[in-house]
Amino acid sequence: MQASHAGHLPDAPLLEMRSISKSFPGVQALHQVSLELRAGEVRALVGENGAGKSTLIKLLAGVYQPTEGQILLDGQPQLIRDPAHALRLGIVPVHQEVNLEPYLSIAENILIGRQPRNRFGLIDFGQMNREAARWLAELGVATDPALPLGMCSIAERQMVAIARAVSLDARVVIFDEPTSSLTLRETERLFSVIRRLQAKKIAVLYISHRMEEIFQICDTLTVLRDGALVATQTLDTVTTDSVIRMMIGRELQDLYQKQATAVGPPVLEVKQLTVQGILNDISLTLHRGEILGVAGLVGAGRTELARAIFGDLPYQKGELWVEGRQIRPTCPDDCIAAGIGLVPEDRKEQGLVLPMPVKNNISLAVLNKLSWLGVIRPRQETALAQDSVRRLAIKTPSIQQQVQYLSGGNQQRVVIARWLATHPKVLLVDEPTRGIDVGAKSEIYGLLNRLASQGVAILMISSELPEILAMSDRILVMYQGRIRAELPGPQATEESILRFATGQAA
Amino acid sequence: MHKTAQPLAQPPGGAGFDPHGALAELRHFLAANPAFIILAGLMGLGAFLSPVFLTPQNLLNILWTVSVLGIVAMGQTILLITGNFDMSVAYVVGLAGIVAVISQLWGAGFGLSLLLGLLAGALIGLLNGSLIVWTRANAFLITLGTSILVYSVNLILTQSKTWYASVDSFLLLGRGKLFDSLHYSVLLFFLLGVVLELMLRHTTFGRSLFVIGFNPRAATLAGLRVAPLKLATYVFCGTTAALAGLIMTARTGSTVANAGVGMDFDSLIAAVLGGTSLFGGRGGTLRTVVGVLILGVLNNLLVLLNVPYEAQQIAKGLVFLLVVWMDGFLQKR
Repeated sequence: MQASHAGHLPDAPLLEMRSISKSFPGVQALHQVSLELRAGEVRALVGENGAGKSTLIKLLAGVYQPTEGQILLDGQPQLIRDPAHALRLGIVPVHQEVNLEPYLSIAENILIGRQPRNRFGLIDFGQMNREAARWLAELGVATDPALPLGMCSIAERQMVAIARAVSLDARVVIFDEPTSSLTLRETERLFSVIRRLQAKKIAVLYISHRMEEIFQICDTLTVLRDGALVATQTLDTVTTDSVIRMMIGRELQDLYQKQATAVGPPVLEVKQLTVQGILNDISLTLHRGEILGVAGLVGAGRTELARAIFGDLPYQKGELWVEGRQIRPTCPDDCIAAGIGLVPEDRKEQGLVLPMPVKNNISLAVLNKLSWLGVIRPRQETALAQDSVRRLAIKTPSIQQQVQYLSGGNQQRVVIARWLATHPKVLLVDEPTRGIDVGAKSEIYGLLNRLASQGVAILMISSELPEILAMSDRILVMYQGRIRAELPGPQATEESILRFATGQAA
Repeated sequence: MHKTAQPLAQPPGGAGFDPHGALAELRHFLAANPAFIILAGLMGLGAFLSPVFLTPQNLLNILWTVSVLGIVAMGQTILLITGNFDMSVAYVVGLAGIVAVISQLWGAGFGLSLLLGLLAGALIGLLNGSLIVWTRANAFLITLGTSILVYSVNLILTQSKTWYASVDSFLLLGRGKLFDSLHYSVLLFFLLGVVLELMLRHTTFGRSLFVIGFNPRAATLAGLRVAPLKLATYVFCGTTAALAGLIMTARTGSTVANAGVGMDFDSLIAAVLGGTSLFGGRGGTLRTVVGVLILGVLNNLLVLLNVPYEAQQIAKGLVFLLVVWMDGFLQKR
C-alpha cells in the first residue's frame, strides 16, 4: 500500500484530509481516513455502497463536520462550517440537480447572485449573457446562455454547474457519479471538460462505480471500505480486478449460511415487466422455498422492481402470475390478497406506524380477518400480537409498546410479523438488514431461512454483497433497469456480481 | 416525559382495576388530555366570578348553544385524524338548511327535506374528497376553494334573502326537548361523540383512519385503500355539517346564505383544543366534545361578565393561537 505521487504533480497538496473520523449515533461512518488532492490532480474515490464515500464528500462540502481530524487547504487548517463556507473556500460539489433554477436562464444560473447591473441597477442581460458565454467557452461548450435551464438536458445542466464552479474560482471540484444518466457522447464531453479543469490547476475528486471511466480519466485512486482507508495508489499500478478486490476485501462471514432447502414449483412469475424509463423487460421466476437475491447498485431499479410486483408502481407492459393465476394489481391490497408481502427498504417511513403500539402494527394487514362486521375483536388481535412476539422473539416490554421505542432489528421483525399473519406465498424483502447491528442481522437471516424452509418464496434485494452471497439460492444482478445476469448462488462471487452490477460484463 | 403521550389508538383500560392503577391511569390520562383540566378550571372560575353560571338553566343554555358547532366538529375531527381538513363546512351548514327549506316550499315533508339537506352535504363532501384524491393538492386550500363555490350556490338559491321553514315537525328538530329539559340537538351531539369514539377505537375503519393520519405511505403498503377511505371521511364530514345546518335552521325557523359563517375555524379550534392534532394520527371525538364545551363555557362567561364583543374576539384569537402552539409543541416532544 504505497502512497506514490505521479511525477508531474507539485508536491504540496492543495487539499488535505488528515486522519478524519466521523461518527453518528451508533455508527462509525469514517475512521481515520486521510486523503490528499494536488492542484491539477484527478483522484478517483471508490468503495461499495456504505463504504463512507458520501460522508467524506459531505465533510468536504461542509454538510457535516468531522468528529476527529483536520481538513487543510493550502496547508492551513480549515473548519468548514456549512456548504456556503465550502463554496467560499473554493470547494464545489457538482450534483445534477442541486442549486440550479429551472426557470432562470443558463446565464443567470451561472452568475446567480452576481448578475452584472446596468446604470439603473437592473440586470444587464446582454452583459450577463456575454460573460456566461465566456465561461461556457472556457469549457468548450457552445450552448446559448439565454436559454432557460429547464429546456436543457441533464448533461447540459451539469456543464452549467461546472461553469458556475469555474466562475466562482473553484479550486476543488467534486463529482459524485456524474455519468450515471449521461450518454456515451455526453460522457466524452464531460471528460474533455474535466481535462480542461485539470489544465486550470483545479483538483478533481471523482466518485464513480464505473471502472472503465476511472481508468480513462483519473490519475490517482483512493479506496474506502467500511469507513476506513484501504488504499491510495496511482492508477497505473492497479487493474480493474485488483480495485474490485480492494473494495470488497473482507472474508466472507459464514455467520449466516443459507440452509439448503428443497426448491419447489414456481410461485411467482414475472414476464417482460416494463416501467417506462425505470424497468426494462424484466422476467423472473420465483420458486417455493427459494431465496432469490437481487443485487445491483443504487439506482439499478431493484426497489422499483419490488414496488411494481407489489402493485405500488404501475407498469406499462408485462404480466404477473402467482401460482398460475395472472394478477393485474392496481394497488398493494390486490397483491396482498394474492399472497404477496413487502418488507420495504425504509421501515420507519414505509413499513411502520411508529407512534402506534406493536400490536396495531402487527395486525394491520389482517384487520379484516380479525374483525366481525367491521368491529375488531380485541382478544383475537391481542392473541395474534402475543403469538407473533413469541414466535419471532420480538423484544418488547409489551405488545402495547409504541414501536418507535424498539431497536432496529425488533422493528424489522414487527414488519415481518405483519406479513406472516397474512400467510404469504411470496415475501419481497428490500434491504432487510439496513441499519441493523450485526448480531440482530444474523437473527433476521435465520428468520428468512426458516420462512424459506417453510415454503415461502423470498425475493431479497440487498446492497450488501456478503448478505446476497450467503443467503441466495440464485442471484439476479440488475444494471440500469435490466437484469444483466443470473448467477447460481454457490458459484457467484463478489467479483462476478460487481462486474455485472457496474456494467463491466454483459 | 415524552413517554406520557401513550398510544392513543388503543382502547382505554386494560388488565385489572386495582385502585392504585386506576389512580395512576387517571393521572396519566389527564396529563395526555389537558383539555379536561382546562374545562374544569374554567368551570371553577365561572362559579367564582358569576352567581348565574352554575345554574342548571345556564348550563343547559351553554349545551344548547354549542351543540350545532359540536356536530360540525365531529366530522372535522374524523378528518383531522386522517391528517385532512374541511374548510367548506361553514357554508355547507348554510346549504343544508337552504335546501331543506326550499324543498319544503315545494311541498316536501319532514323526512324528504331532511334527506335532501343531508344529501347536499354529502355531495359537497364527495366533491371535496374527489378533488383532493385526484389533484393531490393541499386539502386546506381545496376545501377553501369549494367553500367559496358553496357560498355562491347558497347566494343563488336564496337570492340573498331570508327564507322561512314551514313544516312544524321540522322545527321540532331544533326546538324539541327530551323530558322538557334537554334539547334533542344536545342529545345528538353527545350521542355522536360517544358512537364515533367507539367507531374510532374499535373498528377497522377507525383504526385505518389513525394509520393514514400517522403514515399514509405505510398505510398504502400495508394494503389500506387510502383513496376510498379519504372519500368516505369527506362525505361523512359533509353530512355532519349538513345535519348541524338542519338543526340550526330548525332552531331559528329561518335561514340565510351565510348561516354557518365562522364554523370552519371554530370547529378546528374546538377539535384541537380537545386534543386532536392538526398533524393527523392523534385525536378522538370525545375530546372534541370537551373542546367544544371549553369554547362554549368561555363564550358564556365572557357574555355573563359583560365583556365587550371586541374583547371576546381577542380571547378567541388568543385561545386559537395557544392551541396551535400547544399542538406543535406536543408533536415535537
